[in-house]
Amino acid sequence: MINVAREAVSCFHCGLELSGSDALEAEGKFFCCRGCLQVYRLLSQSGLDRYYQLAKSPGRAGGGEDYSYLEDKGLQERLLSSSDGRIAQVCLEVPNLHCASCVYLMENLYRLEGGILRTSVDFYQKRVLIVFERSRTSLARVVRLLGRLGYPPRLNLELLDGGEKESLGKELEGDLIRLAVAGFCFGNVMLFSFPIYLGGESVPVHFQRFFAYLCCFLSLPVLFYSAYPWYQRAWTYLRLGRISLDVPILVGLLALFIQSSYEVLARVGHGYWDSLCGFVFFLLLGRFFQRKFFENISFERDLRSYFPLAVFRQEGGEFRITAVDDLEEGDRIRLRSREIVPSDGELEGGEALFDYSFITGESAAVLRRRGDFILAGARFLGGEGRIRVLRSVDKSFLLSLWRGKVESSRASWVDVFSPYFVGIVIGIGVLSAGYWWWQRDFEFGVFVFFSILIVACPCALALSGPFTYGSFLRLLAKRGIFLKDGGVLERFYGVDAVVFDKTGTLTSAQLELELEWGGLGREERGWVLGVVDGSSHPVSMALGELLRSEVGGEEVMDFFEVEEYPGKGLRGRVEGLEICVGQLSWLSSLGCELRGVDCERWQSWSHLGVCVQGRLEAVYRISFQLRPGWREVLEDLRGRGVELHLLSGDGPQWRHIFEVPFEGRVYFRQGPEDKLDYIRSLQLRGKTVAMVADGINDGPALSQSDVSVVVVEEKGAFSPSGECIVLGRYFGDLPGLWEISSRAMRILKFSVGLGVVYNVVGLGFAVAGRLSPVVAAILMPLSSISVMVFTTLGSVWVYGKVFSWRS
Amino acid sequence: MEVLFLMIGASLSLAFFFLLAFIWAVKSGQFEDTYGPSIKILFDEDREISTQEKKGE
Repeated sequence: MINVAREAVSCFHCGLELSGSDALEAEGKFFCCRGCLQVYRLLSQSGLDRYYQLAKSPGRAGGGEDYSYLEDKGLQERLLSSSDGRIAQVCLEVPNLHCASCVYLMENLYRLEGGILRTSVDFYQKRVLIVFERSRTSLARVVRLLGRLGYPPRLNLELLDGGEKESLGKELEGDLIRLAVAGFCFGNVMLFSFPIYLGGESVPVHFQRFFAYLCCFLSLPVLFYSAYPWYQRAWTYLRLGRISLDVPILVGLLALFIQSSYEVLARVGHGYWDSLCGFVFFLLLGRFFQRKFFENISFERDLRSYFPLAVFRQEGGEFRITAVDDLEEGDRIRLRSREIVPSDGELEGGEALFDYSFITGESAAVLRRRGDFILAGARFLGGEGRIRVLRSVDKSFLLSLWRGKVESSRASWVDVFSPYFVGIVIGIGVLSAGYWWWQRDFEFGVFVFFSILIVACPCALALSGPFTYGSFLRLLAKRGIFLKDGGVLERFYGVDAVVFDKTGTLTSAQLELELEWGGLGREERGWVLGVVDGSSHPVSMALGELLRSEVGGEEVMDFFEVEEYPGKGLRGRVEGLEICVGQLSWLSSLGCELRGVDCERWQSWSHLGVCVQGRLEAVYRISFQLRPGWREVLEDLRGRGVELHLLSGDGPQWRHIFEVPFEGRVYFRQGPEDKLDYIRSLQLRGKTVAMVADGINDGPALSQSDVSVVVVEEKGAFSPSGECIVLGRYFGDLPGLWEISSRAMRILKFSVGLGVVYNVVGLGFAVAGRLSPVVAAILMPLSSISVMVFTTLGSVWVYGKVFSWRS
Repeated sequence: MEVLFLMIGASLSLAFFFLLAFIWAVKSGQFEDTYGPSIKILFDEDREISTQEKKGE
């Protein structure tokens, strides 16, 4: 047993690796910390051991956030939906759902809390619907349970809106039904066309007519219902004065319908119903293929998912929980640690520390004093958090920075050339019709005209885009790069200037601490951890993480009397010893013996000192962690001839790092308007600009740029609207997008060429007046399928090539 | 040969019925979450047992 204790083991619950001597042991299993052990105990006591069998190390440590504010009746009314007052249900977003075990646990929640009747999980949306009896349990208890299990729900202002995410589902529903109807009709029409194709005139006339009418009848729902999205789209673009690809599509459809109806009613033929149905069916397939099945990614995040749900407001003599929506000018609110300031206000207390990095890009925490203006959206870190509200949530400055939707009325390359297409086809049609009218008769001329319109139907063209880009979108999503639509990918290769934000984009949100002087012994690390744990300042948390990784497990320390001095440091007592952590100048003012360390050299928040019992034991250097591979990304883009720019809301402390890679184009202390103006000036110079950013202060600039790329740390996290969302850890793959974009364009052009070949062949038949329904029925599916296969295979092959030498 | 009218009518009706069934399935939300159900079938059916146990208390 002694040997085992020294080996490396992994936590049974979460899989973290640690040395056997640091691990907690119970029932023959190892755990990294008390949090994991507690969840394990809870699950095994309730007979939910299967949790560990369904996936490998599925757990997360439980958390103990304070959810008492959910007990407020008013808030509950707005969050819960209840039909009879006895049973309530709530739909919560749980970002930690990631595997089969998670689903298992959520489905079995009723076993952990009496009163929960049932739960239902939507895995892709990361939502859990919980139905419970109000007499036996409450919302607060349910949420607390989720938190303790390691699946804390995301509680933000968006929750109060309820039911607006449904629209995504409705669209999918509509498309599925349209596809089903088109498929049903297409299949049957093809079937009923066969007798005529195979038997020709030998089929008894009454059957010929029967089949013809049947096919006509079955084609009606396809034409009017299934094809509806294309009518919508064509009309939308026509109103903007543009002829999109939908116009030739509709022209083709109408030509098919008119010609076929005429033939059947005038009894001169059987119609081209199978081509009509088939065409719409393939179009719908293409639309389906483009559909994104992205988990929980939203390209148009509402600002409301950034704000907290509720806050403490002073009413009468005491502070009561209120929904953030209800805040009015003059209200006084009190913030808890790490809460986001919900509305513009004035600080009433003494001193307080705020983190503005997401709003203005300033990475260092900012100290504010009584009477100072506090922007909504800043994060409260410590000190006295009493604020008097100056503007309600809707009128905050933040909203003025926020430009919600990104206009996606930018045309694709294929759309651009459709007016010519329509013109050429009609031209050929009129000429040929005229020829045949002269040669034979009017009727034949009309027949030829319609044949030309029918065969020139841009099936292959219409499918090239969706299938090429649809594949790429899907493949890239596996790579942590999510694009809003194919058009975005198309635009990448035309981009010749990229503007980067610094904080949160090139640097990850994590602070990095490095030991610069002295050092802490093992025991000392534990004590300092105890003090630092009580603070939510980013620097304290970074130190806590560093120490924890060195100690290898959670040492639960009793800490008492920890005082936080905003802007300076922390002081606390652990086991009778006084521990101080903070700025060197502050430490020396407390009387700590600095042992010769020059606190003039290491000042402000670039260095952190740790004193034990009045003696300086260690000094750490604070820096931001640059994303791995950032230099390569910049070099790669430079190699493509892309001009690089850096705009940061932060100060110029780290200028020297970025000077060379950006060829001197670095600018600091840029506000949101500055960034916006800069992008405009680049565009005026004729550049196509892409902006890569992460914060709300980049919002206006992102909207203005030709391509907007947003970097996020986790999929569910809030981010400003962007057309392309990249997960932080895949940042290094960004240049691949340029490569893929140019190759995708090649595939697209080739595929269009393929379609043109089919068109020319078909036109040959049409102009000669030989376009019978059989010929049309063969050409159309043939061209469609070959385009689908070519583009799909081509994109998979290109993707493999581009990313194989990257990883 | 005239029986073809009847046969075609019958088979079309049957196929149409299946189309309706599909539409019903879509509308009742069965196509919303495609990952969850694939895991849920692996879970044991001990729900019956536990509710019976609760009734027995």
